[in-house]
Order: sequence, then C-alpha cells, then structure tokens
Amino acid sequence: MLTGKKGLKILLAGLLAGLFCFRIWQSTDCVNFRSFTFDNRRITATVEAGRRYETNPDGLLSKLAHNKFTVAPYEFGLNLSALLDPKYLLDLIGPLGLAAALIAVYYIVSQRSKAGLIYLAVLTLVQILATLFTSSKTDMLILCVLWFLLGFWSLNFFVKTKARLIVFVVLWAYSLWLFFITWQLPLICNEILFK
Amino acid sequence: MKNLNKLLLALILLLAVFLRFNGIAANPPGLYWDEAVIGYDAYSILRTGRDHHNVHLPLFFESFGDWKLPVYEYLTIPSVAVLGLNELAVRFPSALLGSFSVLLIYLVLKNQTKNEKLALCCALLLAISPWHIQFSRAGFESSSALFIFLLGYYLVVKAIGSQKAKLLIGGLVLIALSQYTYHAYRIFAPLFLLGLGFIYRDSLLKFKKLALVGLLVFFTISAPIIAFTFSKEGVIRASSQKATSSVELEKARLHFDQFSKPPFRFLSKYLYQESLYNSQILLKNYLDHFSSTFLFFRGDQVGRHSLVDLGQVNVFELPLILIGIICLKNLKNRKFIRTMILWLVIAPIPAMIVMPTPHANRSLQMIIPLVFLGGVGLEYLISHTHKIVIGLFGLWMFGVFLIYTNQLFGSYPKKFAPDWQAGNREMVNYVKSISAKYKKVYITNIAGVPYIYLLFYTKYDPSLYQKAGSSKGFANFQIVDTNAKIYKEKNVLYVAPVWQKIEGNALRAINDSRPEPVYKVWELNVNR
Repeated sequence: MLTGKKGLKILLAGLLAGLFCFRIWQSTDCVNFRSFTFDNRRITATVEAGRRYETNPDGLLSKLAHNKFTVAPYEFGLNLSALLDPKYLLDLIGPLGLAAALIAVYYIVSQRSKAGLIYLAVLTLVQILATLFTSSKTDMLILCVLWFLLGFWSLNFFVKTKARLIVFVVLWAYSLWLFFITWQLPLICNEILFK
Repeated sequence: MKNLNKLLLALILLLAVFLRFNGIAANPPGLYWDEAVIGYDAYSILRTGRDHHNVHLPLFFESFGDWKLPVYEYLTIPSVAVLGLNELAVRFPSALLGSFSVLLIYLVLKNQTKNEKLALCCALLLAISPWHIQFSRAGFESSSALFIFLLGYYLVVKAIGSQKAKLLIGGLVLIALSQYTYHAYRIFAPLFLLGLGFIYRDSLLKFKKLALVGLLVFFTISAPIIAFTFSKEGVIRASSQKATSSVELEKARLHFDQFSKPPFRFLSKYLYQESLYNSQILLKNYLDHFSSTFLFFRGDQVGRHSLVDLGQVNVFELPLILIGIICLKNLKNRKFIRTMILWLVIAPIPAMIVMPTPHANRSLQMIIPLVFLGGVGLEYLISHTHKIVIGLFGLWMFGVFLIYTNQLFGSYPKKFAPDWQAGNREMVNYVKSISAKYKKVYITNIAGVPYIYLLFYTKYDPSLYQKAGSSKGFANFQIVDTNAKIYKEKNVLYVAPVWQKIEGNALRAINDSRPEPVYKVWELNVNR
C-alpha cells in the first residue's frame, strides 16, 4: 500500500482526475460548442469600421492605421485572448483547475523544468491552432484535457503542508459545486439540450 | 549618464503632460453630468460658500442618485477661480495630478529598487498608458485618488526606511485622504494598509509607538468616511449597482430546475445557498479584471472609460509583463515585490462587488503594479537583448502608440459623443443667446439632467439658484418630460429631442461632435 506523500499525491491526482472527467462528461450533451476561430470577414468589417470615423477615411493616415496588416494580428490576438480568459477557464476547469494551473506555471517557470516548458509550449501551440481551425468540439476537448493535465504539476505544492491540503480539498468541493450549478456550461457551449 | 537620465525623465514628463492636457477642453467631446455638477458646485462654493443644494461647505456632495466625495470637488475650486467655469477648469486637477503620477512612479521605483533605468521604464509606460491617460483627461476622481494614494505610499515606505515620524504620519494622512477622493479607495486603502503592515511587520515592530500613532491618525481621519460608508447615503450607489441579489439567485435556481440534466434537477434546493452562490459571482467579477481581452485587446466597453476597441493597457505590454514576472527574482527588494503583488491582488476588489464588470474606473489602481511588471520586462529587454531585438520592439511600441494617439485625438470625439452627453454645451449656448425673447423656455429631460448644463454653461448665479431654483427649473427655464403640455402658453421656446414631432416653428437642430442631431429647438405660439 502506498503511504506518505506519494500516496497522498496519488489520492489528490485521483480527485483532480475525477473532477475533470465529471466536467467533460457534463459537456456530452452540448450541441454547439463555442467557437474561437479566426474569422476573415471580421477583419474587413473592423477595417471599415475603423476608417469610418477618420477625418479623411481614404487618406494615407487612415490607410496606415486601419488595414488588414494592422487589424489581422489584433483580431488573432483577440481570439487567442478569449481562450485564456480567466472566466472561460473557470468554467472549463473550475477554481481548483485554475489555481492548480497557476501554481503549475509558477513551478515550471521558476524551476525552469524542461518537460514543463515543453508542455507549456505545446499548450500555447494548441491554443493558437484552436483559433485557426473550426472543429470547436475537438478544440474544447483537447484544451480541456491539456489544462487539466497542467494542473498535475501543482500536486507537489499541495501535499507539502496540511494547510495546503485543506485548501485543495476546499477548492475541490467548491469546484464540484460550481460545475453542478453551471451544468449549462454558459461559456463553453452555445446550445445544450438534455434528454 | 546622470544628465542623460534627467533628460530622459524630462522628455517622459513632457510626453505625459502633452497626452493628458492636449485639447482636454473639447476632447472628451462633452462634459459628462458628473463633471458638470463638480464644476458648478466648485463655482457655487467659490461664490457663496455653499454647494448648489445650499449646504455650507459640505463634506459629502449630493449628486445624481449618489453622493460625491469632497477632495476632487475642493480641488476644482482654485482651478475654476483661475480658469473660469468651463471644461478645462473641471478637468485640470485630474490632468495635473495624472501627470504628476508619472513623476511619482519614477520616484517610488528609484527609491525602492535603486535602479534608475527601471524607474524610467515604469515612468514611460505610465506616461503612455491608455488606461491612465483616459482617466486623467476628464474630471474623474479616480486619477487624483491614485496620485494621492501613491504619494501616501511613497512617504510611508520612505518613513519605514528612514524611521521619520513626519513622513509616516504624512503618508498615512494622504492614504486616508484617498478614501475621500474616490469611492474605490474606501475598500482598497484599508486592505492595502493591512497587507503592507504584514509585509513590513518586522520594521514596524521596531518602532511600535510611531506605528500606533500613525494608525491612530489614519483611523481618526477615516472615521467620518467609515460612518458615511455605513450610512443610508453611503450605500445608495453600492446597493443600486450591487452585483448580487436574491432575485438573481432565484432566477438561477429556476433555470437549473428547467435546464440541467433531468436526474439531477432535484438538487437545486441544496445547491443554491445564497452566500455560496454570491461567492461565485464575486469570483467571476474579480477574475474579469484579469481578462487579457479587457487588459490588452478590448477595454471597458463604456466609451467614457476606454477607447473600447483598444485594451486598457498597450498590447506590447503583454510580453513585457510576462518577461517582468519571470525576471522578478532578479530584484533584490523582496518586500517591494510582495507589496506590488499585494497591490495587484487587492486592486480589483472594490470593482467586483458592483456591476458592471470589468470596470476600468473602479479598478484604475491596478495600473501601478501592471506598469511595474511591464517596466521590469522592458528594463530586462533593454539591458539583456540584442540591439536588433530592442529596435524591432521599439518599432512595435511606436506603431501601437501611433494607432492609439490617432484614435484618441482623431476618431474618439466623434465615435463616443453620446457617452459624454455631447451637444449640451451647444444647446445651452444657443438657447442662452435667444432665451430673452421668450416668456418660457422648456427643455426636455432627455440625455440625463439638462438643468446642470444650464447652470454650468449660463454660469447662473448660485445664490439665485439656491434661493429659488430646483432640478425642475429656474429663472424662465423649465425642465419637462416629452409629454408635457407645452402648447398651453404663448411665446415659448422648446428644446425637444430630435425625434419628437412638434407643431411649431423649427429654429435649429443641435448637433453633437459626430455630428449627429441631439436636440431640435422650436418656437411655439409666437405672434410677431
């Protein structure tokens, strides 16, 4: 039988995995997942909207400030930032997942863990890909799993003291409760139907 | 090197002053009603010693549906005395203190990190910060409150280092005063002091008596505002915009009953406990202020609080802040780093308890730790990377800055005229020029509270208004609804909303800065 910190870590990992699986299971009735895909038509619309208020809409300054090259990176960044919105992440992985992810990033960066840094690079790459391709369901599932897995880096932090362990348990219960009351997945799913 | 740093600081300050003062009389394009009432109350106190509600030197000023705090009101008095009652006078204290904040952040950083380059980087980032510029260019109290608080903090940390009683008392007095400047500081200032006391507990324990005297001074000065906070007047605004309500809880519970997965619907009576439910609303409101969309791409969606299409913080600060976080461990003053983290963590708390969120005005204090983190990143970039990288990054910064200034000085006044209630100045000036010819002047009560604009732009004698005026009218001006019986009397001038059909003689349409018509001026029953 596993005892001590290793056993505790496995227990916490089980709790974390259980919580994450519950959230993914909740999304199985979702008809349309929210899409973060980069929309070309919006770039044109934004360029036109920007020029409308210029003193000379067809002037050089207006064209320099509002064109596809200035707007496209901005729109791309906007979509990417929506994927990193803390409220969206709260809906996706809950308060425990969010806290665990933050602690994990802190650990990875401060200890310069190679595996961790590679993982962060993969996570960033997937976020970028999610804004470029249209399968919103696949995006959501992959992102959800990747964020959940990131949380496992934080387990060392939580098993260090009793106080931290209590924080973990409280956050776990709070996350479970939050997942229950947000069964309609307001920020993840555009349409959800339960039979 | 010292001379170069001084020159750079002077240039940064000049830039800060230019961005905060350039054209503030006409941009923002209109005087928002909160600014108008501040200006007229300052004028009224200057002339009569009483505000327009006839209260002698009030500590709290009655406004529209809430109460205003005194510091900005009294700061506006000298400005109105020198510049007259106009937009520039109302906005001058905010722009001035906003510009001084740039110098102050330089002094704070220099004092705490002994790194002049870092201090200059932070000053530059604050000087060109869209968030800080936005609130310094209008008569918002938040920018002045930030200056007063930052000055207080500077004196307190200087006092802790030097153990000088005067500095500590002075600093705490200023921090207490910040609570009388803007509502958010009633929550932020005490929480910050509590945290600061914890961070510097070992230093404070060394001079307990002085610390206790300082605390006593702080609480003595804060006593009236604490009493006000819990009074009926003090909670009006907070309760009208409260983020949590039992009605919303009930709605959410019913929604769960109808739309959650059927086998679990019975759980609603156990899951919806009020305090627990409210906690998640507050948590979401709090996290809203850390949304990268709000910070870097699309700011506060109220046109008075941002340029809306650009973030509260310049987008190039995103990588700088990330680099800054990583490089924090290079800084030696750990207590200062902890203070900045504390500042960032508690800054959105005043904004999370009321709606809407994210709210750039109520969370303006976030800008200081963000500028600090960005400054650390910029200093690292300048000191440790190749010249080509610095050049490319500088080019990006310059490009973003150009786009921002083009929007601020170009399209902003046109795009956000309704947010600033633009058109009221033009309406009052026109009505003033012809009102003597009419027996009565009716003005419709659209776009807020027109009586304050009439008082402000006609510079109406405050003593006459105190005696016989009210928000329903004064002299021959009458504020009316659009369904008022305006045809009863002869020789009437009527200022109508542009969409209202009137049987009379149309004199002129009043445009705002877009230019779009806001009012139409009519004369009714005139026999000439």
